[in-house]
Amino acid sequence: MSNLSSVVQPLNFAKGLPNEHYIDDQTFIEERESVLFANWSAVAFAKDVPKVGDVNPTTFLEMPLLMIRDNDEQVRVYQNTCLHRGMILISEKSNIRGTIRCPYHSWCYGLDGRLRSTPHVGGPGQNTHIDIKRDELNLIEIRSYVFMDVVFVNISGNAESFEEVHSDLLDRWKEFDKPFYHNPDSSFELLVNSNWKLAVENYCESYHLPWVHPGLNLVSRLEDHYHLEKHLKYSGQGSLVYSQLKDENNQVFPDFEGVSDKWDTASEYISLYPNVLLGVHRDHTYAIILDPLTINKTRERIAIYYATEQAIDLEYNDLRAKNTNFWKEVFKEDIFVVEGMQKGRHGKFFDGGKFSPIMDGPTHLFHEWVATQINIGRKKRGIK
Amino acid sequence: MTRFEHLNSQVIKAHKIGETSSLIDIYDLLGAEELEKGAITSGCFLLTQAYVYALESGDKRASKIHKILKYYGREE
Repeated sequence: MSNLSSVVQPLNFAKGLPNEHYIDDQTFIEERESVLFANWSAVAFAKDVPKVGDVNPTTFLEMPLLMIRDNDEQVRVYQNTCLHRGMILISEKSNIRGTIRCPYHSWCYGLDGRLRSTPHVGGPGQNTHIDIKRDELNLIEIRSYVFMDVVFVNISGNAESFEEVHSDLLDRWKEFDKPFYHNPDSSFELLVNSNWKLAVENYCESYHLPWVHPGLNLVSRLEDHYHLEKHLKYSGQGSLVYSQLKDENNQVFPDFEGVSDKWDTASEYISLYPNVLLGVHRDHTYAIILDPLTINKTRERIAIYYATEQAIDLEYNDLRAKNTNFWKEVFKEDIFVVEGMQKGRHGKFFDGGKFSPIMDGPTHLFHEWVATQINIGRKKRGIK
Repeated sequence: MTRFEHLNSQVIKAHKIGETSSLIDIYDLLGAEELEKGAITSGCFLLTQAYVYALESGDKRASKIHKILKYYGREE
Protein backbone atom coordinates (compact mmCIF):
# COMPACT_ATOMS: atom_id res chain seq x y z
CA MET A 1 0.00 0.00 0.00
CA SER A 2 1.40 3.39 -0.97
CA ASN A 3 2.54 5.89 1.65
CA LEU A 4 0.85 9.22 1.02
CA SER A 5 1.95 11.22 4.04
CA SER A 6 4.41 13.36 2.09
CA VAL A 7 1.89 14.05 -0.70
CA VAL A 8 -0.50 15.93 1.56
CA GLN A 9 2.21 18.23 2.95
CA PRO A 10 2.24 21.93 1.96
CA LEU A 11 3.56 22.56 -1.55
CA ASN A 12 7.07 23.66 -0.54
CA PHE A 13 7.69 20.44 1.38
CA ALA A 14 5.47 17.94 -0.43
CA LYS A 15 6.42 15.09 -2.71
CA GLY A 16 4.37 13.84 -5.62
CA LEU A 17 2.40 10.62 -5.62
CA PRO A 18 4.68 7.61 -5.25
CA ASN A 19 5.53 5.33 -8.18
CA GLU A 20 2.93 2.72 -7.23
CA HIS A 21 0.24 5.09 -8.43
CA TYR A 22 1.60 4.82 -11.96
CA ILE A 23 2.92 1.29 -12.26
CA ASP A 24 1.27 -0.97 -9.68
CA ASP A 25 -1.93 -2.80 -10.71
CA GLN A 26 -3.22 -3.13 -7.15
CA THR A 27 -2.95 0.62 -6.68
CA PHE A 28 -4.74 1.12 -10.00
CA ILE A 29 -7.66 -0.93 -8.62
CA GLU A 30 -7.60 1.11 -5.42
CA GLU A 31 -7.73 4.32 -7.47
CA ARG A 32 -10.57 2.96 -9.58
CA GLU A 33 -12.74 2.62 -6.48
CA SER A 34 -11.57 5.52 -4.32
CA VAL A 35 -10.73 8.12 -6.94
CA LEU A 36 -12.67 7.42 -10.13
CA PHE A 37 -15.81 5.56 -9.01
CA ALA A 38 -16.24 7.53 -5.78
CA ASN A 39 -16.25 10.93 -7.52
CA TRP A 40 -17.76 12.53 -10.61
CA SER A 41 -15.81 11.07 -13.52
CA ALA A 42 -16.24 11.97 -17.17
CA VAL A 43 -17.27 9.06 -19.38
CA ALA A 44 -18.87 10.40 -22.56
CA PHE A 45 -20.10 13.37 -24.56
CA ALA A 46 -23.81 14.18 -24.69
CA LYS A 47 -23.37 15.08 -28.37
CA ASP A 48 -23.11 11.34 -29.03
CA VAL A 49 -26.81 10.87 -28.21
CA PRO A 50 -28.35 13.87 -30.00
CA LYS A 51 -31.86 12.48 -30.58
CA VAL A 52 -34.53 10.95 -28.37
CA GLY A 53 -33.96 7.19 -28.28
CA ASP A 54 -30.27 7.38 -29.15
CA VAL A 55 -28.25 4.88 -27.17
CA ASN A 56 -24.50 4.75 -26.93
CA PRO A 57 -22.69 2.02 -25.02
CA THR A 58 -19.33 2.67 -23.45
CA THR A 59 -17.13 1.24 -20.75
CA PHE A 60 -15.33 3.02 -17.97
CA LEU A 61 -12.61 0.97 -16.31
CA GLU A 62 -14.44 -2.08 -17.71
CA MET A 63 -17.72 -1.03 -16.13
CA PRO A 64 -20.33 -1.36 -18.93
CA LEU A 65 -22.39 1.81 -19.26
CA LEU A 66 -25.23 2.79 -21.53
CA MET A 67 -25.84 6.45 -22.25
CA ILE A 68 -29.27 7.26 -23.64
CA ARG A 69 -31.39 10.28 -24.56
CA ASP A 70 -34.77 9.63 -22.97
CA ASN A 71 -38.25 10.75 -24.04
CA ASP A 72 -37.84 14.00 -22.07
CA GLU A 73 -34.62 14.65 -24.04
CA GLN A 74 -32.55 14.14 -20.91
CA VAL A 75 -29.31 12.18 -20.92
CA ARG A 76 -29.37 9.16 -18.65
CA VAL A 77 -26.75 6.55 -17.91
CA TYR A 78 -27.52 2.95 -17.00
CA GLN A 79 -25.41 -0.04 -16.19
CA ASN A 80 -25.46 -1.79 -19.56
CA THR A 81 -26.27 -5.17 -18.06
CA CYS A 82 -29.54 -7.10 -18.11
CA LEU A 83 -30.84 -7.91 -14.64
CA HIS A 84 -31.67 -11.44 -15.74
CA ARG A 85 -28.44 -13.19 -16.73
CA GLY A 86 -26.06 -10.26 -16.85
CA MET A 87 -25.95 -10.04 -20.63
CA ILE A 88 -24.71 -6.82 -22.20
CA LEU A 89 -27.85 -5.09 -23.42
CA ILE A 90 -26.61 -2.79 -26.16
CA SER A 91 -23.37 -3.37 -28.06
CA GLU A 92 -23.52 -0.68 -30.71
CA LYS A 93 -24.56 2.92 -30.99
CA SER A 94 -28.14 2.99 -32.31
CA ASN A 95 -31.57 4.54 -31.98
CA ILE A 96 -34.24 2.80 -29.95
CA ARG A 97 -37.76 3.53 -31.13
CA GLY A 98 -39.44 1.43 -28.46
CA THR A 99 -37.72 -0.54 -25.73
CA ILE A 100 -34.26 -1.87 -25.06
CA ARG A 101 -34.47 -5.62 -25.72
CA CYS A 102 -31.89 -7.91 -24.20
CA PRO A 103 -30.58 -10.04 -27.08
CA TYR A 104 -30.43 -13.15 -24.87
CA HIS A 105 -33.96 -13.83 -23.48
CA SER A 106 -35.58 -10.59 -24.68
CA TRP A 107 -36.34 -8.94 -21.36
CA CYS A 108 -37.42 -5.44 -22.42
CA TYR A 109 -36.67 -2.16 -20.69
CA GLY A 110 -38.06 1.29 -21.42
CA LEU A 111 -35.83 4.30 -21.96
CA ASP A 112 -36.84 5.24 -18.42
CA GLY A 113 -35.15 2.02 -17.25
CA ARG A 114 -38.45 0.34 -16.31
CA LEU A 115 -38.68 -3.41 -16.97
CA ARG A 116 -41.56 -3.66 -19.43
CA SER A 117 -41.72 -7.34 -20.31
CA THR A 118 -40.26 -10.68 -19.29
CA PRO A 119 -41.31 -12.99 -22.12
CA HIS A 120 -41.97 -16.61 -21.24
CA VAL A 121 -40.57 -16.07 -17.75
CA GLY A 122 -43.35 -18.20 -16.26
CA GLY A 123 -43.21 -20.80 -19.05
CA PRO A 124 -44.10 -20.66 -22.76
CA GLY A 125 -46.50 -17.81 -23.43
CA GLN A 126 -46.65 -16.89 -19.75
CA ASN A 127 -44.85 -13.59 -19.23
CA THR A 128 -45.38 -13.15 -15.52
CA HIS A 129 -44.53 -15.04 -12.36
CA ILE A 130 -45.39 -14.27 -8.78
CA ASP A 131 -41.70 -14.09 -7.87
CA ILE A 132 -40.68 -11.90 -10.78
CA LYS A 133 -41.39 -8.43 -9.44
CA ARG A 134 -40.76 -6.08 -12.31
CA ASP A 135 -40.59 -2.96 -10.19
CA GLU A 136 -37.58 -4.46 -8.42
CA LEU A 137 -35.84 -5.28 -11.67
CA ASN A 138 -35.52 -1.94 -13.40
CA LEU A 139 -32.24 -1.04 -15.05
CA ILE A 140 -29.62 0.21 -12.63
CA GLU A 141 -29.33 3.92 -13.23
CA ILE A 142 -25.97 5.55 -12.60
CA ARG A 143 -26.02 9.11 -11.26
CA SER A 144 -25.07 11.42 -14.06
CA TYR A 145 -24.70 15.11 -14.81
CA VAL A 146 -23.97 16.96 -18.02
CA PHE A 147 -21.62 19.96 -17.86
CA MET A 148 -20.16 21.58 -20.96
CA ASP A 149 -21.58 18.61 -22.90
CA VAL A 150 -19.43 16.20 -20.88
CA VAL A 151 -21.35 13.39 -19.21
CA PHE A 152 -20.10 12.82 -15.68
CA VAL A 153 -21.07 9.82 -13.59
CA ASN A 154 -20.75 9.00 -9.93
CA ILE A 155 -20.61 5.22 -9.94
CA SER A 156 -20.45 4.76 -6.17
CA GLY A 157 -23.67 6.77 -5.95
CA ASN A 158 -22.74 8.54 -2.76
CA ALA A 159 -20.72 11.59 -3.76
CA GLU A 160 -22.19 15.01 -3.05
CA SER A 161 -24.19 16.34 -5.99
CA PHE A 162 -22.21 17.63 -8.97
CA GLU A 163 -23.56 21.15 -8.39
CA GLU A 164 -22.26 21.09 -4.81
CA VAL A 165 -18.89 19.61 -5.63
CA HIS A 166 -18.25 21.94 -8.55
CA SER A 167 -20.16 25.05 -7.51
CA ASP A 168 -16.99 27.18 -7.80
CA LEU A 169 -16.36 26.22 -11.39
CA LEU A 170 -20.04 26.44 -12.35
CA ASP A 171 -19.93 29.99 -11.04
CA ARG A 172 -16.54 30.87 -12.53
CA TRP A 173 -17.61 29.78 -16.01
CA LYS A 174 -21.31 30.64 -15.82
CA GLU A 175 -20.88 32.89 -18.85
CA PHE A 176 -20.35 29.72 -20.87
CA ASP A 177 -23.51 28.04 -19.59
CA LYS A 178 -25.06 28.27 -23.04
CA PRO A 179 -25.89 25.91 -25.89
CA PHE A 180 -22.78 24.43 -27.45
CA TYR A 181 -22.55 23.48 -31.11
CA HIS A 182 -20.46 20.63 -32.41
CA ASN A 183 -19.57 19.31 -35.83
CA PRO A 184 -18.26 15.72 -35.95
CA ASP A 185 -15.18 17.05 -37.78
CA SER A 186 -14.17 18.63 -34.48
CA SER A 187 -13.70 15.41 -32.52
CA PHE A 188 -10.62 13.23 -32.40
CA GLU A 189 -8.84 10.75 -30.17
CA LEU A 190 -5.27 10.20 -29.06
CA LEU A 191 -3.94 7.03 -27.50
CA VAL A 192 -1.10 7.53 -25.05
CA ASN A 193 1.10 5.02 -23.27
CA SER A 194 0.74 6.68 -19.95
CA ASN A 195 -1.20 6.60 -16.74
CA TRP A 196 -4.23 8.89 -16.92
CA LYS A 197 -3.03 11.11 -14.07
CA LEU A 198 0.06 12.24 -15.94
CA ALA A 199 -2.16 13.85 -18.57
CA VAL A 200 -4.02 15.71 -15.81
CA GLU A 201 -0.80 16.85 -14.16
CA ASN A 202 0.71 18.08 -17.38
CA TYR A 203 -2.42 19.93 -18.42
CA CYS A 204 -2.89 21.94 -15.27
CA GLU A 205 0.47 23.72 -15.20
CA SER A 206 2.02 26.31 -17.50
CA TYR A 207 5.60 25.66 -16.35
CA HIS A 208 6.26 23.32 -19.28
CA LEU A 209 4.94 25.62 -22.01
CA PRO A 210 8.22 27.33 -23.04
CA TRP A 211 9.92 23.98 -23.59
CA VAL A 212 7.22 21.67 -24.82
CA HIS A 213 5.17 24.19 -26.80
CA PRO A 214 7.83 26.62 -28.09
CA GLY A 215 5.35 27.89 -30.66
CA LEU A 216 3.58 29.66 -27.84
CA ASN A 217 6.62 31.59 -26.60
CA LEU A 218 6.08 34.67 -28.71
CA VAL A 219 2.29 34.73 -28.72
CA SER A 220 1.46 33.41 -25.25
CA ARG A 221 4.48 33.68 -23.03
CA LEU A 222 4.90 32.08 -19.66
CA GLU A 223 4.40 35.39 -17.83
CA ASP A 224 1.07 35.83 -19.60
CA HIS A 225 -0.30 32.85 -17.67
CA TYR A 226 -1.76 32.61 -14.19
CA HIS A 227 -2.57 29.68 -11.94
CA LEU A 228 -6.11 28.51 -11.32
CA GLU A 229 -6.22 26.77 -7.98
CA LYS A 230 -9.25 25.57 -6.08
CA HIS A 231 -8.28 23.35 -3.22
CA LEU A 232 -9.64 19.79 -3.59
CA LYS A 233 -11.72 20.76 -6.66
CA TYR A 234 -9.71 21.71 -9.72
CA SER A 235 -6.54 23.38 -10.91
CA GLY A 236 -5.24 24.80 -14.11
CA GLN A 237 -3.95 27.85 -15.85
CA GLY A 238 -5.28 30.93 -17.52
CA SER A 239 -3.84 33.08 -20.29
CA LEU A 240 -4.21 36.83 -20.69
CA VAL A 241 -3.33 36.97 -24.35
CA TYR A 242 -5.83 34.79 -26.19
CA SER A 243 -6.01 35.80 -29.80
CA GLN A 244 -8.74 34.50 -32.09
CA LEU A 245 -7.85 32.27 -34.97
CA LYS A 246 -8.39 33.90 -38.37
CA ASP A 247 -8.67 32.63 -41.90
CA GLU A 248 -7.15 34.29 -44.96
CA ASN A 249 -10.11 36.70 -45.09
CA ASN A 250 -9.65 37.60 -41.44
CA GLN A 251 -12.84 35.79 -40.57
CA VAL A 252 -13.09 34.63 -36.96
CA PHE A 253 -15.52 32.34 -35.18
CA PRO A 254 -18.59 34.05 -33.67
CA ASP A 255 -18.43 34.70 -29.92
CA PHE A 256 -20.60 33.18 -27.24
CA GLU A 257 -23.45 35.56 -26.71
CA GLY A 258 -22.99 38.03 -23.88
CA VAL A 259 -19.52 37.02 -22.69
CA SER A 260 -17.86 39.83 -20.75
CA ASP A 261 -14.87 41.92 -21.87
CA LYS A 262 -12.55 39.85 -19.71
CA TRP A 263 -12.74 37.12 -22.33
CA ASP A 264 -11.66 39.36 -25.19
CA THR A 265 -8.10 38.25 -24.54
CA ALA A 266 -8.49 35.66 -21.77
CA SER A 267 -8.69 31.90 -21.97
CA GLU A 268 -8.70 29.33 -19.20
CA TYR A 269 -7.68 25.69 -19.02
CA ILE A 270 -8.78 23.57 -16.11
CA SER A 271 -8.20 19.99 -15.03
CA LEU A 272 -11.49 19.13 -13.43
CA TYR A 273 -10.74 16.28 -11.08
CA PRO A 274 -10.52 13.46 -11.67
CA ASN A 275 -10.36 12.98 -15.42
CA VAL A 276 -11.50 15.79 -17.65
CA LEU A 277 -9.51 18.65 -19.14
CA LEU A 278 -11.46 21.71 -20.19
CA GLY A 279 -10.65 24.87 -22.12
CA VAL A 280 -12.77 27.99 -22.65
CA HIS A 281 -12.34 30.88 -25.06
CA ARG A 282 -14.67 33.62 -26.25
CA ASP A 283 -15.47 31.68 -29.43
CA HIS A 284 -14.96 28.00 -28.63
CA THR A 285 -14.52 25.50 -25.84
CA TYR A 286 -13.17 22.00 -25.73
CA ALA A 287 -13.15 19.01 -23.44
CA ILE A 288 -10.72 16.14 -23.20
CA ILE A 289 -12.03 13.03 -21.50
CA LEU A 290 -9.27 10.82 -20.14
CA ASP A 291 -10.34 7.22 -20.39
CA PRO A 292 -7.97 5.05 -18.31
CA LEU A 293 -7.76 1.84 -20.34
CA THR A 294 -5.11 0.26 -18.16
CA ILE A 295 -2.62 1.56 -15.63
CA ASN A 296 -0.31 2.69 -18.44
CA LYS A 297 -2.66 3.30 -21.37
CA THR A 298 -5.04 6.20 -21.69
CA ARG A 299 -7.41 7.15 -24.43
CA GLU A 300 -7.86 10.90 -24.80
CA ARG A 301 -11.22 11.77 -26.36
CA ILE A 302 -11.35 15.36 -27.55
CA ALA A 303 -14.37 17.40 -28.67
CA ILE A 304 -14.33 21.06 -29.69
CA TYR A 305 -17.50 23.15 -29.41
CA TYR A 306 -18.54 26.44 -30.93
CA ALA A 307 -20.79 29.28 -29.88
CA THR A 308 -23.33 29.34 -32.70
CA GLU A 309 -24.93 27.04 -35.22
CA GLN A 310 -23.34 29.11 -37.97
CA ALA A 311 -19.86 28.17 -36.73
CA ILE A 312 -20.48 24.48 -37.37
CA ASP A 313 -21.83 25.10 -40.84
CA LEU A 314 -20.17 24.82 -44.23
CA GLU A 315 -18.82 28.37 -44.37
CA TYR A 316 -16.58 27.71 -41.36
CA ASN A 317 -15.28 24.32 -42.56
CA ASP A 318 -11.76 25.56 -43.25
CA LEU A 319 -11.44 27.59 -40.09
CA ARG A 320 -12.74 24.67 -38.02
CA ALA A 321 -10.24 22.36 -39.67
CA LYS A 322 -7.48 24.85 -38.85
CA ASN A 323 -8.60 25.07 -35.23
CA THR A 324 -8.90 21.29 -34.84
CA ASN A 325 -5.47 20.88 -36.33
CA PHE A 326 -4.01 23.54 -34.04
CA TRP A 327 -5.26 21.82 -30.91
CA LYS A 328 -4.36 18.37 -32.18
CA GLU A 329 -0.77 19.49 -32.70
CA VAL A 330 -0.63 21.12 -29.24
CA PHE A 331 -1.99 17.98 -27.56
CA LYS A 332 0.33 15.75 -29.55
CA GLU A 333 3.29 17.84 -28.40
CA ASP A 334 2.45 16.71 -24.86
CA ILE A 335 2.52 12.99 -25.63
CA PHE A 336 6.27 12.49 -25.32
CA VAL A 337 6.14 14.19 -21.92
CA VAL A 338 3.40 12.06 -20.40
CA GLU A 339 4.87 8.91 -21.90
CA GLY A 340 8.32 9.92 -20.71
CA MET A 341 7.06 10.51 -17.17
CA GLN A 342 5.38 7.10 -17.28
CA LYS A 343 8.70 5.45 -18.14
CA GLY A 344 10.42 7.55 -15.48
CA ARG A 345 8.09 6.16 -12.82
CA HIS A 346 9.90 2.83 -13.10
CA GLY A 347 12.98 4.51 -11.61
CA LYS A 348 12.92 2.79 -8.26
CA PHE A 349 14.61 5.67 -6.47
CA PHE A 350 12.18 8.28 -7.76
CA ASP A 351 10.30 9.53 -4.71
CA GLY A 352 7.34 11.31 -6.30
CA GLY A 353 9.36 14.37 -7.19
CA LYS A 354 10.11 17.82 -5.78
CA PHE A 355 7.66 20.55 -6.73
CA SER A 356 8.57 24.09 -7.70
CA PRO A 357 7.08 26.20 -4.89
CA ILE A 358 6.14 28.85 -7.46
CA MET A 359 5.26 26.98 -10.65
CA ASP A 360 3.89 23.62 -9.52
CA GLY A 361 1.03 24.65 -7.26
CA PRO A 362 -1.71 23.38 -9.61
CA THR A 363 0.03 20.01 -10.03
CA HIS A 364 0.48 19.63 -6.30
CA LEU A 365 -3.20 20.37 -5.77
CA PHE A 366 -4.11 17.45 -8.01
CA HIS A 367 -1.72 15.09 -6.21
CA GLU A 368 -3.09 16.21 -2.87
CA TRP A 369 -6.64 15.63 -4.09
CA VAL A 370 -5.84 12.10 -5.30
CA ALA A 371 -4.10 11.30 -2.02
CA THR A 372 -7.07 12.67 -0.10
CA GLN A 373 -9.51 10.46 -2.04
CA ILE A 374 -7.31 7.41 -1.46
CA ASN A 375 -7.14 8.22 2.26
CA ILE A 376 -10.94 8.60 2.44
CA GLY A 377 -11.30 5.20 0.76
CA ARG A 378 -8.84 3.58 3.16
CA LYS A 379 -10.63 5.10 6.13
CA LYS A 380 -13.96 3.72 4.89
CA ARG A 381 -12.36 0.29 4.63
CA GLY A 382 -10.95 0.63 8.14
CA ILE A 383 -7.35 0.97 6.98
CA LYS A 384 -5.28 3.55 8.82
CA MET B 1 -44.00 -25.77 -49.98
CA THR B 2 -46.68 -25.88 -47.31
CA ARG B 3 -48.02 -22.71 -45.73
CA PHE B 4 -46.16 -23.58 -42.51
CA GLU B 5 -42.88 -24.08 -44.37
CA HIS B 6 -43.41 -20.80 -46.20
CA LEU B 7 -44.05 -18.87 -42.95
CA ASN B 8 -41.16 -20.60 -41.24
CA SER B 9 -38.74 -19.54 -43.96
CA GLN B 10 -40.13 -16.01 -43.77
CA VAL B 11 -39.56 -15.93 -40.01
CA ILE B 12 -35.99 -17.14 -40.40
CA LYS B 13 -35.30 -14.59 -43.11
CA ALA B 14 -36.87 -11.73 -41.12
CA HIS B 15 -34.81 -12.69 -38.04
CA LYS B 16 -31.66 -12.75 -40.13
CA ILE B 17 -32.14 -9.29 -41.59
CA GLY B 18 -33.81 -7.78 -38.53
CA GLU B 19 -37.10 -7.12 -40.32
CA THR B 20 -39.09 -6.57 -37.17
CA SER B 21 -42.32 -5.50 -38.83
CA SER B 22 -42.58 -8.80 -40.72
CA LEU B 23 -41.90 -10.73 -37.54
CA ILE B 24 -44.76 -8.93 -35.82
CA ASP B 25 -47.05 -9.64 -38.80
CA ILE B 26 -46.31 -13.35 -38.86
CA TYR B 27 -46.29 -14.03 -35.12
CA ASP B 28 -49.43 -11.94 -34.66
CA LEU B 29 -51.26 -13.79 -37.42
CA LEU B 30 -50.24 -17.24 -36.21
CA GLY B 31 -50.94 -16.36 -32.59
CA ALA B 32 -54.45 -15.20 -33.43
CA GLU B 33 -55.09 -18.41 -35.41
CA GLU B 34 -53.97 -20.57 -32.48
CA LEU B 35 -56.24 -18.70 -30.11
CA GLU B 36 -59.16 -19.17 -32.48
CA LYS B 37 -58.49 -22.89 -32.34
CA GLY B 38 -58.53 -22.72 -28.56
CA ALA B 39 -54.79 -23.39 -28.27
CA ILE B 40 -54.22 -20.77 -25.59
CA THR B 41 -50.63 -21.59 -24.64
CA SER B 42 -49.25 -21.74 -28.15
CA GLY B 43 -51.34 -18.70 -29.14
CA CYS B 44 -49.95 -16.67 -26.24
CA PHE B 45 -46.46 -17.93 -27.00
CA LEU B 46 -46.68 -16.60 -30.56
CA LEU B 47 -48.35 -13.38 -29.51
CA THR B 48 -45.60 -12.86 -26.95
CA GLN B 49 -43.07 -13.09 -29.76
CA ALA B 50 -45.05 -10.47 -31.68
CA TYR B 51 -45.43 -8.34 -28.56
CA VAL B 52 -41.69 -8.26 -27.81
CA TYR B 53 -40.80 -7.11 -31.33
CA ALA B 54 -43.61 -4.56 -31.28
CA LEU B 55 -42.35 -3.23 -27.96
CA GLU B 56 -38.78 -3.10 -29.21
CA SER B 57 -39.64 -1.21 -32.36
CA GLY B 58 -42.24 1.09 -30.83
CA ASP B 59 -44.88 -0.46 -33.08
CA LYS B 60 -48.40 0.62 -32.16
CA ARG B 61 -49.63 -2.98 -32.34
CA ALA B 62 -47.91 -3.54 -28.98
CA SER B 63 -50.83 -2.12 -27.03
CA LYS B 64 -53.42 -4.29 -28.84
CA ILE B 65 -51.35 -7.45 -28.28
CA HIS B 66 -50.73 -6.47 -24.69
CA LYS B 67 -54.47 -6.31 -24.08
CA ILE B 68 -54.93 -9.84 -25.44
CA LEU B 69 -52.07 -11.25 -23.38
CA LYS B 70 -53.40 -9.54 -20.30
CA TYR B 71 -56.88 -10.93 -20.99
CA TYR B 72 -55.41 -14.44 -20.89
CA GLY B 73 -53.45 -13.61 -17.70
CA ARG B 74 -50.14 -13.75 -19.53
CA GLU B 75 -48.94 -10.18 -19.11
CA GLU B 76 -49.07 -7.47 -16.43
